[in-house]
Amino acid sequence: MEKIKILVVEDDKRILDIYDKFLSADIFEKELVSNGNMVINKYKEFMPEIIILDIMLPGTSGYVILKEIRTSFNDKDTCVIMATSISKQEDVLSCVKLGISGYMVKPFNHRELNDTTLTYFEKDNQTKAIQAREILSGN
Amino acid sequence: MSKNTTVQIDPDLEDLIPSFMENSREEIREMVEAVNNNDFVTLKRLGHSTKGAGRSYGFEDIGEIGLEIETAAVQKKIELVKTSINDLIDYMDNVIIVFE
Repeated sequence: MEKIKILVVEDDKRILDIYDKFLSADIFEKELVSNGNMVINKYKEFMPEIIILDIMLPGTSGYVILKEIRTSFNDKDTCVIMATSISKQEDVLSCVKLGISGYMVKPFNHRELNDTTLTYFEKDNQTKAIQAREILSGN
Repeated sequence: MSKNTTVQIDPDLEDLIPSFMENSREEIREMVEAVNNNDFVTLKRLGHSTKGAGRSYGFEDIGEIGLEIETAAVQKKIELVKTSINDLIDYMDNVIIVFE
């Protein structure tokens, strides 16, 4: 299986470290971005299959980035998972209207990061998600 | 904030802790600069991120202090912000981490 291309957008380097360590390198080809202003260029260059996108970013917000992907690029297919803090869950509603595959509430359990990501990705690419789970389980 | 607080952290996170500490100290420097500039917008953001990062690693006390900074910044109470930043510095200087 070709690795699943995943772009993670998170301004806090401490949280980005968690994504980097716990998103399995066995199944994911990862690009990590901490600056919201760099996301669109990275998106065009990397063409991710999954984007984990923090809503609350300094500069260009996650909502604005999502809107650009869904409208300016007319990309309705890329699996976008919004990440938000527990106190800001209402912000997800505006993102739902633009089209997202799911959302994660921070702080999340790092042990469940791969499973949660694949669960949302499964809606968009069931075959690849199943293959990825088989790799993770050692089959 | 009590001295020499002991905290239990997931062993899976052990190799990330040096970077966590370094980035947290960098963030404290940004907070102090924001205090000097009366920049409550930045203080709110930094308090919010400290809250999230602390809790993500299992440092509940850091999470609580982050919340205090965020709340004080929203209320534009600079003295409360300063007190919480000092609590954070104190905690970072004295915390004893046990990986289990």
